[in-house]
Amino acid sequence: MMTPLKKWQKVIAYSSLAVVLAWTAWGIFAIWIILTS
Amino acid sequence: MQLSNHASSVLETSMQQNKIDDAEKKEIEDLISALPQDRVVIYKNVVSNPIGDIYRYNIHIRIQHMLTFVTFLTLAFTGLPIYFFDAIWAEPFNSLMGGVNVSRIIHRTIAAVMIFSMIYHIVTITLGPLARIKLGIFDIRRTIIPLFKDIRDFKDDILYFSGNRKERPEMDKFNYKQKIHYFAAAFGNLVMVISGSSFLFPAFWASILPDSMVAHFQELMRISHPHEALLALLVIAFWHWYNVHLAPGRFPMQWTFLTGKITREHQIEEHFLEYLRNLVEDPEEREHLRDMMESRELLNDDDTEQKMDAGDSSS
Repeated sequence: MMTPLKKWQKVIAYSSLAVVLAWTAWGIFAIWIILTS
Repeated sequence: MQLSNHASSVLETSMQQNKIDDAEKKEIEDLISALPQDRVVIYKNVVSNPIGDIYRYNIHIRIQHMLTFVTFLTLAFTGLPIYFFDAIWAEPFNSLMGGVNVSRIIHRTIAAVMIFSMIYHIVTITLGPLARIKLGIFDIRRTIIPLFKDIRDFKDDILYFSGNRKERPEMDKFNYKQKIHYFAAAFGNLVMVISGSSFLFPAFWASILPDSMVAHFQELMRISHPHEALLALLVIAFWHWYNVHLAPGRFPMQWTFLTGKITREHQIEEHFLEYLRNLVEDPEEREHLRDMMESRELLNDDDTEQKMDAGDSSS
């Protein structure tokens, strides 16, 4: 059972998640272009 | 809880290495035997702080992870647009850096930082175990070295996730998945360093390789460098980030790389053998576990039952 994240912890955790998801999206896009060009 | 032979052996070794006296040994064994047999019941009931409860990584490992992830992302960010310069996404990235020539300089400088991080890591993982051997507290099962048990754990985990086993295997500080990932990353780093150095120092490689191999080696390295980078990008994005950000129990982020601590819940679920060592090494953790399980009436404590029986008969 996890105790809830504090506000500042949420900010760090979700912004970090946003960065990795953005990076993944860029990676998928880049690889798609490489494979299709 | 009845421990398996392997878990009992891990516990016994830890108690010997920590010079635990008989009274404390009995306390630890009593606590473990009073726990519910199903580990899921334990880790679903313990209270965990999401940013970590139990010490896992020292400051050196955390700095190395930070250096590795910053250098890896920067190298991918500058390197891939250099190689795939004619792709439509590459030009804006090269322009952002100030052109391909600037990208190249940044790429090589950051590569030097990554190599420094590798050397720093090799020094840490050599000196740490040597110190533990000297102190008589080294246990190979607590390291990232692959052992036969990892193959068994891999098989048992597949059986569990396919519904053919009741519970996940009892895994150690580093489980089979982490060992595969670690050695894949180590191999990848080596490929990148060797291939990268063959572009920067072709004369050096030509001087140490047989003449017949030089051209083939350069060609192989030119293919390896960008494709190993793509492979690493895929592994990091789809494997590592899933495991540390998106997996149930870890969402939205696992904090271990910052705080050096793992949650109690995660430790019991995926690193149960290490948790047994935590119980040996940390009396406070024993107290925590006992209090939490007692408060939820999940501790099959004979002493408590005897006391309650005595209370009942006296009333």
